[in-house]
Amino acid sequence: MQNPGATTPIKVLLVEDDEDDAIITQALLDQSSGQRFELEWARSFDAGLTRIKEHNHDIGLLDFNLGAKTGIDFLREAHLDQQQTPIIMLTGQGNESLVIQALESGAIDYIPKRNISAENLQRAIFQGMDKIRLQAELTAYQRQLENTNKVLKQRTDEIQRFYHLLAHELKTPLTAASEFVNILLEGIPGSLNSEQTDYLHLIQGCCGHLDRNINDLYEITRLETGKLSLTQQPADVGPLVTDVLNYLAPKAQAKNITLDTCLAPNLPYVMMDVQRIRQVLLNLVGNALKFTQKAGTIFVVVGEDPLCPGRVRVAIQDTGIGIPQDQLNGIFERLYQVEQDPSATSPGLGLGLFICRELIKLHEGTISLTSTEGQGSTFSFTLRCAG
Amino acid sequence: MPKHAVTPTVLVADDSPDDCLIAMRAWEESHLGFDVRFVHDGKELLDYLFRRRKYHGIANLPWPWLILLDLNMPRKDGRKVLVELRSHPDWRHIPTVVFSGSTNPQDIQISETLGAYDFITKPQTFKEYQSIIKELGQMVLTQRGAA
Repeated sequence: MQNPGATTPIKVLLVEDDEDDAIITQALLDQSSGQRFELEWARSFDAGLTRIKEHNHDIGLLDFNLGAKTGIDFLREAHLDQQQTPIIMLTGQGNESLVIQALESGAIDYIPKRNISAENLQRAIFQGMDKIRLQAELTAYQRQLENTNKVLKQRTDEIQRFYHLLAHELKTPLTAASEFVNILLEGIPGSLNSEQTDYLHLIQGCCGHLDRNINDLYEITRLETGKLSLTQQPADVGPLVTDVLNYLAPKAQAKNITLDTCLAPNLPYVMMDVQRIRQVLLNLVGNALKFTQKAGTIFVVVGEDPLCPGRVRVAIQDTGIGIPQDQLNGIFERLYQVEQDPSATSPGLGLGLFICRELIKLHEGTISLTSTEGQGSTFSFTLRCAG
Repeated sequence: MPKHAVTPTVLVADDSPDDCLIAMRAWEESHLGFDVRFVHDGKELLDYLFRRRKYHGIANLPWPWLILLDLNMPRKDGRKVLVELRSHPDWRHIPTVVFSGSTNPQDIQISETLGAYDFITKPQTFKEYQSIIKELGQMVLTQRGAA
C-alpha cells in the first residue's frame, strides 16, 4: 500500500548472482516505512555492469561474490568516481577485511549480509544517496570557488599592472619635462632673466615633488604585490645613520635645528638591506625635520636594545610639535596626514610612514612611535643582529 | 673606563624601550663605569629587589646604588613603588630618583613627599641627558666614597 505522503520510488539496482539472496533483498525493501523501492535485479557481473553504466538508478546494491569476479572488480570496472550512482556493497562471511578496499574502490557504504535488516538496508540507501548529493554539491562549490579565485587574481593582476603602467607613464613625461627645465636653467637655448630663473626653479621644485610621489606609488604597488625584494646582508648601521644625517645636515642648518647623535661603540652588525634602511632613515629623520620648529633638536640614538637581546634599536627623538594621542594609532597607515600649518610645503601622498613600516616588517623588525603634543615625538625601529 | 673594586650598579625602571635605549647610551657615554640594569615596570623592579620570580636564584645579582624610576608605568604605578621603596628597611638607603616625562608640579610635589632623592624631568636633548646622568653618577659615587 502506498502511503499518500510517500515520495517518488527509489530505483535500486541489485547485482546479485544468488536467487535466494535476491528474493530476500526484494522482501526487505518491500517492508517499506512509506518509501517505495523499485528493485531491478541484474543476475550476473556483466549484466550488472551494463545496467549500472546506463545511470538509470538512484542506488546500487552489490554482492561481493559474483561468480569468477568480486564486487571490487565490479567497482573498478564501473569507474564509479565518474558516476553518480552510489553503490552499497553487501559483504558475506569473511569479506569484512576487504571493506576498506571496497570503499577505496568507490563503494559508498557496506552492509554485512548476516546483519542485514529492512531498517539498516533502507537507512544505508537513504544515507548513500544523501552522501552522493552532498559530494556533488561540494564539487560544485569547489569549482565555483576556483573560478572566483581565478577571476579575483586576474583582477588584482590587472590593477597592479595598471598602477605600474600608470607610474611609468607618469614618470616618463615628467623626466622629460625636468630635463628641459634643466636645459633652460643652464642657459643653453639662451640666457635668462632673474624672473625666468625663479619661475624655472619653482617648476623644478614641482617636478621633484611629483617625482617623489610617483616613486611612492611605485613602492606601494611593489610592496603590495610582494614584488619588493630585499637583499639583506650583515652590515653596520652606525655609519649609515651618520651618512643620512650628513646628507640632511643642510636642511637642519636652514632651520637652525641641532642634529645630535649617540651611536654605541662596538655595535654588532645587523641584517639589513642597506638601501632600504637608508630610505627608512631618510624618511624618519626627514619627517622629524619637517615637524620640528626652528632651533629645535633632533637626536638619534643607536645601540643594542636594552630590553630585547639580539636586536639593535634606532631611536629618533625630536622636540617638534608632537602628534595628538588620538591620531597615534593611524599614523603608519596609508594616506595618514597630520594637519599642518598652511605655510608648510605640500604634504605629499602620505605614504612614507606606511612604506617605512612595511620595509621594517620585511626585515622582521618592529617600528614604534611615542609622542607628546607640543613636546615632541620619538620614532624608533629595531633590526636583527647578524649571526 | 674606571675600574672599581665593586661595580656600581644603577637600576632603571622604565616601560619605554626608547627611553631605556637613551638611558643606556647616556650611562655608557658618562664613562663612570656603572653597570646599568633595566626593568620594565614597577612589579619587575620589586621582583628584582625581592629576588623573586625571574630574579630568583640568580647568583651575584648586584644591589643597585641608584634607582631611576619613571612614574607612569603599567602594572604598578611608580608612585606606589616609591612608597614601598622608601618604607622597606633594606632599600630605603638607596637613592631613588624619579626620572619622568612629566612636568606636572603635583607629580614633583608627591615625589618629594614620598621621599624621592630628586625629581628630574626627562630632558629634550641627548646632551642634556648625558650631563644629568653624569652628575647623578658622580653624586652616587661620592656618597659611597668610591669617587
